[in-house]
Amino acid sequence: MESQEVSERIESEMPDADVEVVEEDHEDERSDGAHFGVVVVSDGFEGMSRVDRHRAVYDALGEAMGGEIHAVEIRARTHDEAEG
Amino acid sequence: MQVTDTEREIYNAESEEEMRDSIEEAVDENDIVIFMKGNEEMPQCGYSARAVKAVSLYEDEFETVDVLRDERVREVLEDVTDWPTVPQVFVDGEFLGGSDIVVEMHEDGELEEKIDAVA
Repeated sequence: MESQEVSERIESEMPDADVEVVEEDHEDERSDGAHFGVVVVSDGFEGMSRVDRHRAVYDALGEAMGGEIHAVEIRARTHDEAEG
Repeated sequence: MQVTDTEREIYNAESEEEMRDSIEEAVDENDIVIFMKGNEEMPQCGYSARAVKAVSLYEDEFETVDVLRDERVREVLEDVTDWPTVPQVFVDGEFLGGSDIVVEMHEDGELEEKIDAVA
């Protein structure tokens, strides 16, 4: 899976989100799956716990988690938090 | 790597229900539990190592459960927490999250508060 697909998947499930894939590592893809780092900025995160924000991102990535994708580092922020 | 009593209890489960009970018991009975790849001395994944490192800043003693020794553990754990990856960190029975969250909580001072409250 390429980083563009990662951001597209998140954006399609979370239409108001700005998604930036900041890191990509396919080195151990064969054994382990790819690693990505994503920054997701969405006002939909307002009032959500850290755990629930991450769950929302994992849900958007769906079945790929734990399969093609070994790990995603997630920074989940609201616009206010991202600017702050 | 030595198997801890907590791990043995989980690995010995004969059904998924039994394993779920053992996992919940481990989380309830220990102040801090980290489900991870490998153990504290030999983490088998960078993210697991990072979680251990963050927790270790505040407390030396915690339980770890190696999910690599029994492939059922990850599935059952995911069912319990609705969280698809390891590591998973629990403090005082509360699921805090994976390595990103634990590192964020460390940066914000929240991890220290949570751990100080129990350890």
